[in-house]
Amino acid sequence: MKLISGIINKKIELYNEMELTHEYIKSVWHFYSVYSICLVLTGLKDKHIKKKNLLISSLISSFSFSKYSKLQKYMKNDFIIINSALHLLEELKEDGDFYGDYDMPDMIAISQYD
Amino acid sequence: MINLNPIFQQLAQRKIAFFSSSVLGNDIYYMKEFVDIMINVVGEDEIIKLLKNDKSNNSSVNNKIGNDWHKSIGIKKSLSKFDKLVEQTKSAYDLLEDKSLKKKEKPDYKNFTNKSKNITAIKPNLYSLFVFLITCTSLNRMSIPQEYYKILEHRGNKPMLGMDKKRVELDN
Repeated sequence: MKLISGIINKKIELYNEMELTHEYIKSVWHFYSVYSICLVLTGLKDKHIKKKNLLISSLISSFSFSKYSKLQKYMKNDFIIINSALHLLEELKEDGDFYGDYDMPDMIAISQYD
Repeated sequence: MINLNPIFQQLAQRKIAFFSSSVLGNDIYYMKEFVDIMINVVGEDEIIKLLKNDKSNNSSVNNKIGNDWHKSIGIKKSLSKFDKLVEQTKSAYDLLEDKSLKKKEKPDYKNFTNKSKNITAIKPNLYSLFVFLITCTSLNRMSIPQEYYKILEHRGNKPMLGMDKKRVELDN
């Protein structure tokens, strides 16, 4: 899960950067990209996918703050799923499943010369 | 876990890095490329078998993808249908003069958004397959080198030009 965690971190970093520079369309896109990955990790279902996709599409074709604030209402709840996916990754890290079969955090490498 | 050849591993890492740093459908183009590469490298039959036996949190979706793979409602058909849309968006993106997407009044930006608005941002099946292909291969335990990210893309190349200027001054 190390790579997935890296993707999520990168996307969240870009989401924050776009928010700060007022590039809302890009920030929304990064946010929902992270959200889609987090939905997969948690195995949860979303009933409002169609509505959200429609809102994002209309935001891309013509941006308005009224549409953006509508989407923000959804985003507030969607943060909960992102948060629970991040918790899940932390738990995997503690259990040692985070790195897969190799590269365990406490693994000691011994090299043989003879 | 499927161990990938180092060359394919590097290629896959690059595609994932481009996916992570792009937006508005251009990212989906790289994600789709990654999925296509992995299907060819790992093998379609092997992926279907792994999807059917998946026991992760998202197993219900993955099992369904595996079972419906060749059906008319399956992911194989939807991926090939999706190809045209993604390629149109990518070619519109390549024609953009300003890749930072800040010059919104330009016709090339409008052309790009006209294409990208047709690509839905939340795609549960595609993302499910994408995450599955990472977790079932040796990519799962890797990280992406920073230089693979297209960090200049969203900043409009400004920092790089500034750096070049300084270097020229120092050389002189």
